[in-house]
Amino acid sequence: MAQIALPSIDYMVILQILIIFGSATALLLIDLFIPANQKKITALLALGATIGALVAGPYSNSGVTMANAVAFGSSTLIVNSIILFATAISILFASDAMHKQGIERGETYVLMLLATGGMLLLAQGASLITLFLGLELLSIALYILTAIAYPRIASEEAGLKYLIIGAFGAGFLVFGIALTFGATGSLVLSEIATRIPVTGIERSLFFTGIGLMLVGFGYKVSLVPFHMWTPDVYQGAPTSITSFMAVGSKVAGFIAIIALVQMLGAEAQVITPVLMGIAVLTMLVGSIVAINQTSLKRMLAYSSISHAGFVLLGVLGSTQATGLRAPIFYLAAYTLTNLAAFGVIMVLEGSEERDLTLADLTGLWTRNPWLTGIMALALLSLAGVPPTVGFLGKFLVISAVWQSGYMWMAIIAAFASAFAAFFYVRALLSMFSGTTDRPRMTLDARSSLALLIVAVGIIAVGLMPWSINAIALAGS
Amino acid sequence: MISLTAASARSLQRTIAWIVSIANAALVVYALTAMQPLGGYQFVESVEWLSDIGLKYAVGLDGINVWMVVLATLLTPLALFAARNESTHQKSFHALILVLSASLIGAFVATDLLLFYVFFELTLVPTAVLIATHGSGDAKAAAIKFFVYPFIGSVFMLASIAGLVINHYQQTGLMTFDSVILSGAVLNGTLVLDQNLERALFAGFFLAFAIKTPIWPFHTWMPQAQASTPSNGSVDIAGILLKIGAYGMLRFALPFFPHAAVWAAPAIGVLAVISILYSAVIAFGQKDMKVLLSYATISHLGFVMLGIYSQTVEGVTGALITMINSGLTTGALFLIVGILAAQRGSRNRDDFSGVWLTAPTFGTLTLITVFASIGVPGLNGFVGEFLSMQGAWLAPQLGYSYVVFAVIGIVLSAAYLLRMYRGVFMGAAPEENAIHEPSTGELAVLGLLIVAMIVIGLYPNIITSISNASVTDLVNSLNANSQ
Repeated sequence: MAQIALPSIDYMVILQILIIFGSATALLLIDLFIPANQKKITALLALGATIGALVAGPYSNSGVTMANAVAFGSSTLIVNSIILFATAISILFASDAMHKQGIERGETYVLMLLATGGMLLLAQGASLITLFLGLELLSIALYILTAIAYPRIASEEAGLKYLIIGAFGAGFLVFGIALTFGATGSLVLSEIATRIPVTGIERSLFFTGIGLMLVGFGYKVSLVPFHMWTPDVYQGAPTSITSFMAVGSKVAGFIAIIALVQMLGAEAQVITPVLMGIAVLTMLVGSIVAINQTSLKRMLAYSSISHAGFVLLGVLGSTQATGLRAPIFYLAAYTLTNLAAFGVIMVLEGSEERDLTLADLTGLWTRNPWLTGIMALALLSLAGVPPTVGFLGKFLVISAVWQSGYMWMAIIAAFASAFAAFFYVRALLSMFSGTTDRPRMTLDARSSLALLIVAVGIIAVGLMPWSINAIALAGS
Repeated sequence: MISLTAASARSLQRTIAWIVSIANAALVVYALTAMQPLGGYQFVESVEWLSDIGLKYAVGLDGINVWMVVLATLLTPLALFAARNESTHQKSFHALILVLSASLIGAFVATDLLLFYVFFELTLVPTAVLIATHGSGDAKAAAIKFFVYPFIGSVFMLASIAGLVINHYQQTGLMTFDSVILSGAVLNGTLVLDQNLERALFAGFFLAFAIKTPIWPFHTWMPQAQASTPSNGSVDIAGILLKIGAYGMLRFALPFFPHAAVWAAPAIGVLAVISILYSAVIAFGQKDMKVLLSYATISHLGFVMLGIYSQTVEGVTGALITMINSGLTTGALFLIVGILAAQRGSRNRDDFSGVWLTAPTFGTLTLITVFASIGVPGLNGFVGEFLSMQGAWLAPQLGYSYVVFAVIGIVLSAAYLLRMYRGVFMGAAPEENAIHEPSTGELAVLGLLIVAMIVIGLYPNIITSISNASVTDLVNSLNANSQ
């Protein structure tokens, strides 16, 4: 009987993934022995694991392992660092806010670690199966997290919606993978790239498969027209989870899209026009619909849709000389900015469950000047006003797109960001005008620390963009 | 050197604000005396910022922007002075004025295009927040409009910047935002833009600067913002610092796109003339003196545009002097309206009469300021407007017909300002609550401003001796290009 040959594994390539999954598993057990009112210990342990994985990044080996299923490289290192950073900040947020609202459970942190593991798998995935596993792991953990505020109807509803839509998206993805496999006979991205059929039914099957996979990921990163779930889920989920979801799953989803587009190489031009159209629609729909929102979380949800359009544009603009700098920098900017914005909203909610509206920002300046300052930074960064990180992201995307020869796309992007400025500025100036009789909010040390880090990041990375590379590569 | 001392003033105390603003002014005066009357940038500082896309922190002064910096640094203490009795939000006010002043100076001295853009946009934030926090009436709506309208324009400029830089990169292999290199490349023909592309890129710059300036029909954000700001005029004085629109036209839009600028000049000249006449007519009908003054500002800026787009030495010098005048004179007028409003609690000109009888010194100083604004010879307003119109007359792309209409604008400005003056200062003084003389300090500040107006009026050489070399260089390069 023939022996099954197990592929050799270079554990140093998957070091970060191992740390995250290992500690998630261990933490699930440890959590059983932590009393219900001491769950911040679980949070602390999860935070430690995340930071450990973050620090381990530069010590990982570059290369491909596990039969070409998982890879690691310099851009992966940056993406992984962004994801782990977002997780660490989200854990700090969650442990403060969920405790205040009385919905803290140990599982939350385990699930956040598992979702993070899924994101890392997506970022490091070198085969279609890995991408699928990563996406599913990420999604399933997030379905539960969305609904974790158990007695709250809104949270349950959001979780259910997310589950149904997510399952739908996953269906597209699997079908796409199957077609691609059928057309090329391989699941490994680097092999598929050399076997793209040039004619015949295989070619149609192949591009149908690619299209379906892009639809699957499109749900995850909420590209128009696959975005309908986003506002409802963002609004219903506990805010600390929303920020985690908004940031992490978008970064991971886009990395997968980038992997697919890169795999296509020169053949990407077949789908580029369609993706351009989707990017334009996404930017415009996100920016225009957001104008009409009064709920802050819904507004940020539409804003995140609009930003997804920008990232997609950056991906398409990067196929040539510029490299992936524009979309990856944009994702980093998006991460810092959204963590700050959702973080402030979460602090403002305090122990209430109410969905905050624009009116709740009125007069914030007079009662919480520091919070106002951080929110102002976040909103300016979302609008792309210098010297914040959002401005540089926007500029890099616009110039990358122009450089690739899509001048009109650059101009439309300028249009979309002009539209979007309105609602950011409206929220910004609401904070500075009028007065309020609402009480001053007090900040827990964890939230303060997390907010301080992201606020400094918005300015520091905006002024010193190379610091992202420097931090991610520190120690290597 | 000068650049950002103000930005370091994180302290919220008014004393610190005063010290910083005066120290800044002293530095500028030093720079002015140390300036060589040559073309090109002096006091250059350049630091690599984001080297892989060629972005630098590069600043420098030449004969043109040094005057803008002088204006900004001298008006900053004036704005602080106007707000001295304001009690609410004292600390945020001073911090915001300093941030505004720092970003303005940054925008004026930046020679790197993207750095300019960064400061250009940054000026919006403190001003909008000032309007929202200190404004009256529907201040929030005014502040949103104040922010969003210019922001829309500048986003298109950002796209144009990207386009310009990328075309330069594709043609020369050098990725840079350095405005000296870029305009040099346009001048010596290493960067050649397709005609339509050049016009499109120019349109992006023009839109941003025209909204910011503002000229008709892009002006609607300005009067609304000024109607909602506090009556003491402090924010308005800060607001008239916003000469970056006109400055940007001169410094960036023209040298980068000389052919498109000549092509568009007649149309822009028409807009400028409409600006002059339209705002003068609207100002005539205003009862709120602050709104009246804001239309007067728009009217002045019409002359500035006319001078700039004449692309002659006379016109550009006239535009430069008019920008300085508009800052000095309108700044003084805002201060006067602030003083009146503080005593009466109203800015409506119908609520005043016979101020001259009870406050003759104040009345005299106001009259001189009004004359300066109208353009009576011997005062500063005359020099700037005369040179702008002379430039427009000489310019082949404009010509005398523009000047004929612009002159009507001057007549109208005499009409609305003298009417306001007659109503407020002449006639019978009311029985009770008569306006009394303002404090010695207020009179002294007004007096200083008037001295500056007279000096520029009698001896404009004080400006042109420093600016002439830079202006001549600029105009020569434009003319060499547009042949």
